[in-house]
Amino acid sequence: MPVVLQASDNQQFTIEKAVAERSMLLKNMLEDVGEAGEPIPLPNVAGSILKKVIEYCEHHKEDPVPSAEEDKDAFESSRRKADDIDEWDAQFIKVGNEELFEIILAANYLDIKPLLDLGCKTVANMIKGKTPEQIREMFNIENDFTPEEEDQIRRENEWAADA
Amino acid sequence: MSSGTANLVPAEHGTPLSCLPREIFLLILDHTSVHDLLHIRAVCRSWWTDALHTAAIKMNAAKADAATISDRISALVSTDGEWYDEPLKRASLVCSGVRMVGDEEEVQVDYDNADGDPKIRAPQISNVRFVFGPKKGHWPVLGYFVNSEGRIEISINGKLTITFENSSFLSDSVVQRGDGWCIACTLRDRPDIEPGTEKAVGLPSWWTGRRFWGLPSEVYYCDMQVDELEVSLGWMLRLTKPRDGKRSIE
Repeated sequence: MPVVLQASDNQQFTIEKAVAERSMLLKNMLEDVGEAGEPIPLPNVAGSILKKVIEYCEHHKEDPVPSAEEDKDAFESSRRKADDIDEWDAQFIKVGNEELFEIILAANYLDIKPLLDLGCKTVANMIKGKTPEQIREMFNIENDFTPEEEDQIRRENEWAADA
Repeated sequence: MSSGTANLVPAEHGTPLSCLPREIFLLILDHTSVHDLLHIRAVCRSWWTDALHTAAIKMNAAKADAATISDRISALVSTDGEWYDEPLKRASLVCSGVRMVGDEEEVQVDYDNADGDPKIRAPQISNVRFVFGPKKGHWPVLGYFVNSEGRIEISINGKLTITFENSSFLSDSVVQRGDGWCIACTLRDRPDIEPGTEKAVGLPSWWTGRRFWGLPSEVYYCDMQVDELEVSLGWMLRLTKPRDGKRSIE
């Protein structure tokens, strides 16, 4: 039985149930309401982002769903391996910052932990090795330290930066 | 705990992170190494708080029941003249090799678990790198973390972490062991003090605005000035070399 998803801009996507069930939100919803056949409205996700999310879920539809305990272990393990990203996933997530953040938000809303993890790892890798100035520029963050504080921080970081 | 998600302004050049809720920002930081966390704290005030909070949790993770390997390495330390072994919970790190990378020494680190099974490896920490030596004769200001048990964990700009059982011995103490390493620290002050009081004298001027007291994990952060620090890598290797499948002290 196919599942119809309706994005915030009213775009509709018909997908396999197995694909929809990569989302814990949709899985629980389908279990609760059964297969009514009505489109499921997703007011927090734009059509373009939902399309990307579906692409991810399609690719990973055969992946085993971890149990709660395995999920915890996998999370702890992956937490230490930000560089460990599957090649397909790495290509999939090569998007602009704005789209990346929207995918992360959608993954969080739809409760797709592997996708949320992938997005967070990607941002973490963008931060990795960057100077505070580069990060401020990349994410348009205002520097709200006083000059004295900045001087103190610079002296603290100098040793590590130049070692 | 103070802080919001990130201190952001409307996008003009880069894309802001403001669309992400703080819980997701913390998830991102959770994927960031302690070393990088110590660097990115300098982005803005809210990043300072969240980066150090995450670093504190990571460094405190070894206390948890679950076997977790944090970014730190355990070491023997001396406080009152006796040497204490402070291993990670259910696992201990061992140095499997040292090689030169340019002018720097790179330490390859593996770990064995509490059962002494040397086959279990942690390749994700094999690139741990320690660089020792003062820059232009000046040692860095270090950060230390204190948990509710009074244990202090010291990181040298994220490149080395050592753990002390009792902070009271840190003040103006110098300890040595042969040609190994010695550390002489001057605590600027204990972290469990009230800003603005007599005890707070000596804290960095910017410290009192940080509001690190009362973190949920009961981990506190403060800075200290190290007067001397010498680390002999070879000695450290001897310390962590497994004997009969178990960590030993030589």
